[in-house]
Formats: sequence, C-alpha cells, structure tokens
Amino acid sequence: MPELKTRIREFRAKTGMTQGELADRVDVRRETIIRLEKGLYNPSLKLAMDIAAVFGTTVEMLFSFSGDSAE
Amino acid sequence: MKQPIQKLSYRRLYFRHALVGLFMAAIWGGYYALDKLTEGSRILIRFLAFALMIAAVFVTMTFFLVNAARRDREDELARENIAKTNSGFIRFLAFAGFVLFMVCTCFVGKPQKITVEIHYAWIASVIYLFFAVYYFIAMYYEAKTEAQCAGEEQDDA
Repeated sequence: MPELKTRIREFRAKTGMTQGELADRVDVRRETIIRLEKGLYNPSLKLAMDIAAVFGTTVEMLFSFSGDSAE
Repeated sequence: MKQPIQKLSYRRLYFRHALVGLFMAAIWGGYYALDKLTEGSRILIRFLAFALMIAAVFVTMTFFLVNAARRDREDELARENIAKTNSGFIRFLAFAGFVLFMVCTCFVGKPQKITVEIHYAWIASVIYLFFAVYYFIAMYYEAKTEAQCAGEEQDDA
C-alpha cells in the first residue's frame, strides 16, 4: 500500500512557522500536525486544502504517495 | 488582563470523565447502602443522607462540567478517535452481554438459593460504570495518539 508523504515540515521551515501556529491557523490540534508530518495520518481533503492555502501552494506540492512521479 | 483557560489534553479529559463515572457509580452504591442503613430511621436522618448524596452529585458534576469546558479543540483526529472508541465500546457491550448470558444459563433449571435485588440505585450505578468504561476506552486511543507524537515536545519551527 502506498505511503503518504508530506512536505509540511519543509514548508514550515521556509515560512518560520511552528507546529502550534500552523495548527491554530487550520483549526486543528498540534497532535494532528505532528501525526501528519510523521505520515501517520491521512488528512481530509478540507484539511489538506486549508494547509496548502496557508502556505500558498497546492495540495499536490504538499502531499504525495511514495512511488508518485511528482516526488 | 484575563488569563486564557489552560486547555486539557483529550487523554487527561477522558481520564477525568472516567473518574467522574466511577465516583457517580460509587455515590449510587453509597446511596443504596445509606438507604438500607437508615431504613426505619427518623425522617431527619433520611433527609440528611439524601442531602449528602445530592451534595456529592453536585460536586462531581461541577468537576465534570469544568473539565469539559477546558477540552482542546475537537478536530478530525479527535473525531476519528471517538469513532474508534464507539466501536470499541460496542464490542465491550457485546462481550458483557455474552458474559451475562453465559452466567445466567449456568443457573437455568437449578434451585435458586441466592436472590438478586434489582434496585434503581444499582441500575444507576451500573450505567455510570459503563460511562467510566467508555471514557477509559477513549483514553486508551488518545494515549496511543500521544505516544505517536512523543519526541516532539518542543514546538519546533
């Protein structure tokens, strides 16, 4: 089964945003952001789009499945 | 300036809710005991016993509401854990029903020397025990979530 990979940490580092700040911006708990970054959680489409909107990027740039050509 | 309310993690919140369930079960058990002890006693003594129980319920429910007000935001991860808890609790109920059925079938056709009194206080006590079990199951799933987030203590940038 393909594994979900995220670039949230990379985007956070670029924008200097903490996990807590990102969690507040998209109205989730910090634990949710941590699990997302560790690839332990598949977000809903709404959450994925909200996070992409915070970083001014697209869902495809933030999330990918291992083995995708976009990686 | 007013200090913001300190949020409680879901694991702690569910643990406290489970404690509330256990306390309420104990209160109803205690009420049954008091009711039996004060049977035939003067009305003042029975009134005091009832007032003591009401006070205990008031304190416990206040504790419950104060903690509920401090819970962290309910996001999709919390809802996912609630769904797992509901599933786990239904399995527990099915198991408890099965055990009760098996125990009852052991007494079918045999002369009964033990009588079981079904008092409303015992029913209330059992309901609150199930309430406690539900929140212990919820606490288990939240503890698993927290364990997966271990090692990220500092809010890093």
